[in-house]
Amino acid sequence: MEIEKKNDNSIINIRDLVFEYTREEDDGVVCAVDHVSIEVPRGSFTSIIGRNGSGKSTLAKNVNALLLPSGGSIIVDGYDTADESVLWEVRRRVGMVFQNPDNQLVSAVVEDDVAFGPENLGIPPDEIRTRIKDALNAVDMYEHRKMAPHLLSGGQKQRVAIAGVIAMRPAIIIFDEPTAMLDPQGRGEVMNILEKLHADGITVVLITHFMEETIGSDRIIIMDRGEIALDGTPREVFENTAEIEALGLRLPFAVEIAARLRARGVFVPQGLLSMRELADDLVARKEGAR
Amino acid sequence: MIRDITLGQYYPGYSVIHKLDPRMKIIVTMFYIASLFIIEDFYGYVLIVLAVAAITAVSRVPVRFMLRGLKPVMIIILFTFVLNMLMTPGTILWQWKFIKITEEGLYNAVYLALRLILLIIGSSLLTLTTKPMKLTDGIESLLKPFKKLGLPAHELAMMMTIALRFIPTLLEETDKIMKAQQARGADFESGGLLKRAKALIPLLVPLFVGAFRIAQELAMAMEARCYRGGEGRTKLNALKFRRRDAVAVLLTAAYIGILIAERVLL
Amino acid sequence: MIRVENLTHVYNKGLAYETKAVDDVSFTVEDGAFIGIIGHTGSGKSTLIQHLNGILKPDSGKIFVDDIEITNKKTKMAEIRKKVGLVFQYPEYQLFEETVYKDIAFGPKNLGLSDDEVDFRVKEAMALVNISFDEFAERSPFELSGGQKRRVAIAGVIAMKPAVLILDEPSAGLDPKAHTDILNMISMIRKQTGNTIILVSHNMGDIAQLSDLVFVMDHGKLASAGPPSEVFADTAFLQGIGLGLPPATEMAHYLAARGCAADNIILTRDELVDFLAETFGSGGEAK
Repeated sequence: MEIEKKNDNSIINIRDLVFEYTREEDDGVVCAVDHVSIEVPRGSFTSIIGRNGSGKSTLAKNVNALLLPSGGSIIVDGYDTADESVLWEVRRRVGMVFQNPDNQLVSAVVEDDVAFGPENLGIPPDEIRTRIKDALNAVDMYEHRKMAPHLLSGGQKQRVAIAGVIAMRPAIIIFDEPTAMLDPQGRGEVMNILEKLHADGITVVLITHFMEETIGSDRIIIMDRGEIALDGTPREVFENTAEIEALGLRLPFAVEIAARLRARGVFVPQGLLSMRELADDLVARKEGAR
Repeated sequence: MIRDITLGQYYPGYSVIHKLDPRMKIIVTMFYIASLFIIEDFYGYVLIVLAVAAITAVSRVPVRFMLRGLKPVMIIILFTFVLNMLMTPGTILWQWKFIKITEEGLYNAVYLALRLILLIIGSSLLTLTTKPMKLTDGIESLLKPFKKLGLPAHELAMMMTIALRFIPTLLEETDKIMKAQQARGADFESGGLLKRAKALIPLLVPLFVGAFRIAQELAMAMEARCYRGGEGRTKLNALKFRRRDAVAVLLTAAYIGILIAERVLL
Repeated sequence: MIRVENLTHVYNKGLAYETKAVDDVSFTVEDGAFIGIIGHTGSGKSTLIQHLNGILKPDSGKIFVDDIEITNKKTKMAEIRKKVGLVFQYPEYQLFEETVYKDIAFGPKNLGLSDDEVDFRVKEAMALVNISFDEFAERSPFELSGGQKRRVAIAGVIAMKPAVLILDEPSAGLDPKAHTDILNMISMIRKQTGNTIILVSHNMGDIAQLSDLVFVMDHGKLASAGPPSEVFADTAFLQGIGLGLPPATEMAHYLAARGCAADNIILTRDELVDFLAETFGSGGEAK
């Protein structure tokens, strides 16, 4: 039976996390995550950005107990990831979608792959069948349920991978660069599903290089060399244009244009994140001035 | 080339044969293979051919499709045919210099070739009418009793599942790497054996590196989805022994019975 | 110069699911041009470019590179490789040698060049992709970062000194910094070698910024070809075949609908900022 352990609103509680590993080439110790503390509220949408090697993926794998902390702790829905006796309680709560759509599908048939997680959880077959149907419908892949994954497009494969995670009914889904290997169409498909899942109450953590994808999130964390460089709402974070560029990251399109306009002496208010917001503001301001 | 091999390929369909319990089909196939070695005269072969023809008809797998599976092994069949025809001593039917064909040789050759053909057709019937995943489930289930002897039934089946899933991926990967190296002037097609073997290094190294990467990523994805071996696992499609399977068992028993009777009585 | 005449490539010929991956495509590319190829996944882009260096053979049609007919069976492959270099998607997956040096030398060696010439070319190629020879030549390519691996792989093609360099999604999957670095690198290579460059990409912003000519592939056909200012002006057509616009163009388009149209088509961020500063700046200081 599930025990209600919620005593506050946060579903992931990362306290002073340190993750170190030994480099193979020279036995040097690398600190991939360096004293990081994050609380993720239930049902929220958090984006994590950072250059390759900034520690964001390592952080994500710690939340799912794929990696265990060298120092500090992570509590997921009341369960400590370092406590081996509750490992499966942690993993069933935290679903993960990885970058390469090919290398996370286990079975040669779509519906069998979606069944893989529930089978591991020991769910009865009839219940699995309902879950497959729900999960594949949620990602709009139900009609492809008998197909072989290698015949699907990248976006479709990634949707199947998401269905496989949904079928386990996790409270949290971590997307680790889910769109990095997709074309614009596939990217759009995956982002639509991600937003839908968030709307349905699932806690979403998105790791990405595409700034535009983070605009809709409740909170953005920018990582650099294992530490949190910036943390706040998209509006707050994207005010730090110079700092973000110095970290080797790109600004969202509208934010970049707005910053460059400001540098040219054009007044543009902060906090315009999408291209339309910026355009609407510019037009309204001009009309107001008349 | 690789596409011609029907052995191990699945032909989608909804016939009774397709629907039979894979465990049953595996066992029946084993009995069938054994039966090929029981018979040794003309009537026996007639019986087997009839049985195979009947099953093929019921399965609705096109005969053309099944015969295509014979193509890659045709050379072996021809080779054994000729060898038997020429090497068996006995009554000479035809002679030209030192080459002679004997009556016994001809019989042997025909029977052996027929046996090989029937063996291949029979076993491809199993794979043609059974989804690879079902076949894996069947093998896992049949191996379960040997678990106590330390045979890792679930692990073997999982390995087969993954192999089936990733064969197309690896073929694609091979094709990609080959093209990329060709673009850098690699030549996989000309030269002697040693040169060709050496030419494979630029292909094999990236392929192995790729396979390891896939394995690593897949293992992580499986773990993230709570995989922990066969313990406590349920199965979406649990195998069920149904009435049609019982009928198939009875028919198989009858078939074996008739074959033995034929051999003893005739 | 590349001349493609009525190129057609059919997959699974004679089978029920036969598809024309490339369907009667003809075009000419002048020396030193920068061509951007855009199109949906499965539109025939990859199949098309694999013909240009002879890896795929057409079912019909001809390709000439500097008047050598590379589709002719008698043409030596080595001749074609010297002329046309092709960098595949995720080229780092083709690395295989123990050291960066040996890996880059693989192509030139296959061309049968002398050791001195190979050595020279490796150094030159490494300089072009901005990978320090002293620091990396003797390192294993497998120890490098993703962006570095990709540069080494690209160097492996550049070292063959092709007159035409084709790159298929060269920045796919990289982080934003590495993405920008790769694009800058391509511009540098073009400047220093004068190569003809063919870039296949889904990133309309990059294509609009870099290309002289844009080819649009759709269902195996060359659906449109022209300078970016023409191709990206036909918004309805591009949207009809499921392609997007460069973000700057999209914003200008949106503004036009709100009554603030620019005189000329806007393709790049620089152009957009100029236009916006002019239109919305208080003192018109952009002028």
